[in-house]
Amino acid sequence: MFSMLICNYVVAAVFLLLAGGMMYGAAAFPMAMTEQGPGPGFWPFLLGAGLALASVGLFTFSLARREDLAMKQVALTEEANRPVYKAMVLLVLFCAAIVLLGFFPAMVLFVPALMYLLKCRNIKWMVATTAGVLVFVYVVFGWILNTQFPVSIFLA
Amino acid sequence: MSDIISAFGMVAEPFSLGCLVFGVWIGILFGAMPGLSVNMGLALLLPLAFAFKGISGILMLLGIYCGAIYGGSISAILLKTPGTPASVATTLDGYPMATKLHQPGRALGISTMASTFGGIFSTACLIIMAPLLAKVALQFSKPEYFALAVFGLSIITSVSSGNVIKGVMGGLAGLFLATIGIDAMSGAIRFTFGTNYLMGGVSFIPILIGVFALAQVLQSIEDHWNEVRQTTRLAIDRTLPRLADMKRVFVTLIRSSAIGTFIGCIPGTGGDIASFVAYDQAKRWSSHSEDFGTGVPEGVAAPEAGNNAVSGGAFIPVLTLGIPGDGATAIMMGALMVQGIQPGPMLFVDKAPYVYAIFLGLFFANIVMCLMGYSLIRLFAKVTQVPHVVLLPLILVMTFVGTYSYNNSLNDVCVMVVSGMIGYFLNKLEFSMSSLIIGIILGAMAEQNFVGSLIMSDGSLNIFVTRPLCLFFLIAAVIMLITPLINFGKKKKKAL
Repeated sequence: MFSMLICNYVVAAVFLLLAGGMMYGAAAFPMAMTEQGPGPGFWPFLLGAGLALASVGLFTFSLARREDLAMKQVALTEEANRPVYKAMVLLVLFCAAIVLLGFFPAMVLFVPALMYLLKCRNIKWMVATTAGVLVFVYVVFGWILNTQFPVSIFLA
Repeated sequence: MSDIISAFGMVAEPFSLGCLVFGVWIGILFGAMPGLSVNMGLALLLPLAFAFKGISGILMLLGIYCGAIYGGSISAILLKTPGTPASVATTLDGYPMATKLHQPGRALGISTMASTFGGIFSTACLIIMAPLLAKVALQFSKPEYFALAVFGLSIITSVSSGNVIKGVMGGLAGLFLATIGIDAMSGAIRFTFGTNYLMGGVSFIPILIGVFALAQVLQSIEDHWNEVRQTTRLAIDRTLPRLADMKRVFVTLIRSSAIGTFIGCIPGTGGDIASFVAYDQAKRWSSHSEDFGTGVPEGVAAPEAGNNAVSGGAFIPVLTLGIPGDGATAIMMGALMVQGIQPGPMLFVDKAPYVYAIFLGLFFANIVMCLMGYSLIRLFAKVTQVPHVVLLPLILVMTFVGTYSYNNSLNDVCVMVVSGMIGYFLNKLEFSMSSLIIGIILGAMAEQNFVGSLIMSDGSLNIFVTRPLCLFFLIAAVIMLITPLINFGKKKKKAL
């Protein structure tokens, strides 16, 4: 568990960095006022400045409310968070598998893996769900809507 | 008159009606299942809506919107677990009526009747008020539109997020994302990092599906880990409401529908606020307020009429001003824009048949919702028992399929996955995803009108303070943003 206070400080720092990046990037474009209005860098620079101000505001606000925020916990490292992080890894692997194997073979691997992660140990349920999802996606999107799903790079 | 006839022709096409019915059915399912939401249903099926030509996709989304708000009452009444936040107040009397009084059918019947009444009432208000407001909005110029965009964002950030400053940060981030790509005014290519993918700007569909659907699924995986799934063995008997109940709740229905319609018009508020306010008012005006919470019909009718009445009210600012009021209407507005239907007062001039088609679509969606509610309620009740181990993988796959089918781009899928992961963490840190999405949607409007205003005034910022309406919206925006901070300061002083 992390306190909301720590999280707010981190978020404020991250957003401040992002704001700095936005302003730096915007400064590369003209910002001066012309007959056609302000340059293309003006508006993003303004947004970056606003975000920097808001980040400082969040830091100040968190400092002012530090006792309350220190008591408030954010669940990021609890046991219940671990399946979420594993699911995130599965999602990344799914994306990679779509490129390597194609969409439908990747889905056949992904669905049972996710069900296993969700504590399902019933093979029949896994097979039935995978088959059901496969048929549904193929019929509705592949056949009726004629969506061309990615195929394996080895077959492309 | 010819516009209304054209609209009727568009809506009455068998395919369009079929899309509407399908949308209502899917909406009720999404609303009924705890862990799913209105925004998730809209985000997931948005790419499907684009595959349908003309108004059909929009009608499907309208059906989902109306159906999902109503569907939340099913699990609220049967499981004491509202399917959507808008149905929390329904649990207060709906669940006791179903369990303690052993009348689940009566509770579901009253909720269906109230939802239909609220939806139709607010649609009627929309039909009357929207054209009038559009005439006023036609007087707006660039400074007013810029101020309106700022006002819309300020309300969303101040009302819907846990922390105003975080809401502002989300909104600013959304506005910045909208600057990526080719600048419409100068033609400059901004923040593309040399990639062709970003030349056309950041597509908001993958981000929308990521933050509303994928992030929610990740949260559901976390919730599923600890949950003890509640089962119900309630036998649903007669669902058609009795005449005595209809007479008893009639005044409550009108009052709650008016409350819901008014609250729906205000950007940043939604069904959850409307349902609680309607419930509270019903209790205050009741001659037996001490019975509320024990299963009284008014306690079920009030929140349900209130939350469904939001649907028509929420479309008033969307259609007339182009300002979405919450995440769901932001999604709907995005869908309209992608179909080439630009919300705003000119919509009533350039594409009047589409406006009337939306009015008719909302009306028919509520009728279909009523018919489905009474005829298929037992089926919907069974669906609430579908285990998450089956549901979550299906929804996850749908996020991939929906995102990919929009543009046949794996880059979009990667953006969706990254957005979903970031959205999961930002939700935990009490950031508002609605302000991010609305920032993206309003970004182009805000920038173009800001730059256009400066061109009008030869670079002087005075234009924003010398025009009364513009000044009014900007002052209102500032008040909306600083009021929560002032209230916090007062609370701190009192505590000391």
